[in-house]
Amino acid sequence: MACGGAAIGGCGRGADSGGPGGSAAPGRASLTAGKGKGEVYVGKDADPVTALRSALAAAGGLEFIRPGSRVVLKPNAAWSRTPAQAANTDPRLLSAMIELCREAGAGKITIFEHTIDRPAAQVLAVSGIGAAARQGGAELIYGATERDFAPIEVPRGRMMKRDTLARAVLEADVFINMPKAKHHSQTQLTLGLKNLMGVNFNRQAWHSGPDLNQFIADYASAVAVDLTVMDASRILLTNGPKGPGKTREPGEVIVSFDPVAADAYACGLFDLDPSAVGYIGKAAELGLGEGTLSNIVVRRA
Amino acid sequence: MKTVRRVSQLLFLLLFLVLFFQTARQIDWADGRMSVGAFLPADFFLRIDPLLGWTALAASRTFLVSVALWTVPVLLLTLLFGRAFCGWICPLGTLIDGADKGVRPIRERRTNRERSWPRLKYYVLAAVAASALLGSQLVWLLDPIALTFRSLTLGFFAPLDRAVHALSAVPGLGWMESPAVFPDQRAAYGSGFAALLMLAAILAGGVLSRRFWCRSLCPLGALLGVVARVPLFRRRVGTGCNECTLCQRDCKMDAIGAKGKRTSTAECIFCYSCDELCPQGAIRMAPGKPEKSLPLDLNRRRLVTGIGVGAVWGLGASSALARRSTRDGESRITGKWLIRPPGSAAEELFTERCVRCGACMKICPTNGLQPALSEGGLGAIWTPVLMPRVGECSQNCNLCGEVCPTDAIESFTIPEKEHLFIGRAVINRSSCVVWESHKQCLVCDEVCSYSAIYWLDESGAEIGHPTGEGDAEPSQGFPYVDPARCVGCGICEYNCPAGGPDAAIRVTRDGDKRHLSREEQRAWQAANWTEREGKPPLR
Repeated sequence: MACGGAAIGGCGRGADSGGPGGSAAPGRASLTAGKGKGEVYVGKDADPVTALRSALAAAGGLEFIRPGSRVVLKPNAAWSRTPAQAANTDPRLLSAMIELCREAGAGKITIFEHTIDRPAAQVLAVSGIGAAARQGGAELIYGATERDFAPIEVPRGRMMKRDTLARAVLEADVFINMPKAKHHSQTQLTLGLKNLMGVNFNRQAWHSGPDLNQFIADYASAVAVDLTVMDASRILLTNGPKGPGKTREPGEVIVSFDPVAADAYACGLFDLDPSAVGYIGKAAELGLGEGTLSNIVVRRA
Repeated sequence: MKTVRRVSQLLFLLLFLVLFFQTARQIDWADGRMSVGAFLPADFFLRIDPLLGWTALAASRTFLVSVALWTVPVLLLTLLFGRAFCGWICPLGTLIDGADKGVRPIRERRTNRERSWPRLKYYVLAAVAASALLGSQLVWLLDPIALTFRSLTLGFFAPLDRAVHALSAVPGLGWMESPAVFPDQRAAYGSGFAALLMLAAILAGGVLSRRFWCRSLCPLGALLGVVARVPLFRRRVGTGCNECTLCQRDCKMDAIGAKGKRTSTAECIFCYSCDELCPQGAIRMAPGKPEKSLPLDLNRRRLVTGIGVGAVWGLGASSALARRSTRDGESRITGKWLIRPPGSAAEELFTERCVRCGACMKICPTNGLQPALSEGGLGAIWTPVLMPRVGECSQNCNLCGEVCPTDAIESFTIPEKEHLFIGRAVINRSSCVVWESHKQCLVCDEVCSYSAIYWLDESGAEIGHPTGEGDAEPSQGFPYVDPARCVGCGICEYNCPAGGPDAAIRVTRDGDKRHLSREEQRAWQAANWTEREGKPPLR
């Protein structure tokens, strides 16, 4: 298969072909590395913003953002679906996070998404993510083309050795992942680690590779996530990742410095054990975080 | 007046270009609703063109008041001022005037006598009319408005998109790239170079004579010429004329008789050059009683030849003959890859109405609408076909139906798209990695906007999704396409990771239900619907 295997970057689809040029830059370490390993902070409220604020307060806030930092927020807004359909991150959470980052002293705030449905601008509008970014005065990058991505090394990867990362994320001081918790036909669930597929350029290559779950875990080992803020206010239970399908409202927002623990905790909302979601165990094996429920400390705010 | 005329030409050309670029999506940031971003109907020039309107009506043998009414202003203008449209409004005419100035040295070096065949255009018009009456109109090839719009879309827009994209990478020039004007990926159109070449050839006609196209070939010019036999206003030469023939030699349309006095009203485009040039001040453009115009002198044999050419095309290329070989009212003559945009009329009606202006291809946000070459046979060249490997038909888009000037694509709503069947996805089991090598892959299922992919295990029982412990395990289920849910949008084909030029899931025309009315398609969907666990119910 032309696009298979771990040699990623040469199979760009659409008019731009070939991988982004230039040499791979070394990835930075997470600002919050080692902090709160195995700890998950959960806020619960009918209003997701209240849930977010209390979870974040329990986690100690955003004090790791140094004044003037360039912050990138990566919501899940892949699909042309409304917030009620629960296929994308709730725009209210994005608005609140923009505000909180700014209060914490952030400089330029950028919202990045590489949509799957098109046109990208419409997806951002239907999902409400575009309006939230604009009202919050954040830079909005969507409809990104190949040149918006740079090659990165994946030294710890088992199957993936190199890939691409959005330049905006690569150049940021702080990267906050804002996934949606929802059903996914292939990996069972889309959670935080899988949301990182949206900051790489060529998703097709992951799908046609030997093991999507291993690719997701490998990639997460090369992308420094400083905080995970997961939207589980309303979750999609069937027909994911795009829906429409059945939804449920746990009313939770999950905050964690440990990207694996956040995902492992969220499995419970779907009555699943983390072992059912392949990439969680594989990420834990790579030492990216705690993947076993019994070792995870849940602090409910 | 010559200056006023030039200003008018430039303003109309500007309007044409503005509307061309405004044939683009405008997105409401509040709810994502898309509309055509033009301050006038984006297809304004296409709609006011009487040749396009009336041939589309004649070919489809239907009368649409909306189409007919739009053509009235230009016809009225012509009754009053002859071919003033050609001299004052037509964007191609203005481009030709510009090009004529550019190639003037070549023209003058070649010959001191300009060459044109003024009667030829009437034979072209005869061919166009005959072809339209016999079912497969030929107007798309030569109508000046349609061909200019098409040449700009297919030949000029894609290179411009690339140039702008490249320039916008320069620091400080990022604002240049407006995502609304250009598709999400870099635009590219098949046979774009051929379309551009046609425009270039027309502009190069200036080597033979000024306004060569307008004098010799333009079927719209011919139609307006026929209407303009006895216009209210016309060129009138007063008693001061000393027959110096300065105007006769200067006239770019060769519309003036040998002594400078008589005028061919079918050729005069009201450019006001002679009025300004005359040393005696003897020429006025004024109303009054009809004068004898220079005769058209059409050659009957050639006219019949023109009609014959049109008839041969009309009969040969149209489905008029093939219609007899259809079953269930569904045409069998068209090709496997002939996927029309949603809202398109049934195939015969579609090719009769479509004037190949390219507006739908221009506005398609994924660039998936492409000009047909062989997909639908001779009668369908340059009509729009969806090529999902280039770009899918976006679920929440209905813009092609909004910009079509002749209702070949009738406007449709987003919810209606769920039962407008333009084709059906077919899985190629020998290249699908699930079928062929039992690998885990569900991209088609993941991206499907209509939840049309379902899974059966080896015993044929339906399963939710074939996921197990980690996807390195072989798949225990196989994907199938639900024909009642799949409308043929092709998002699966676009995203399928298998293959290079070919996807393992491809949309074919088999499943196209345009021969049924929208209500009938909806009823068909309901009759063939299967409720499936976890998927949305019938709307």
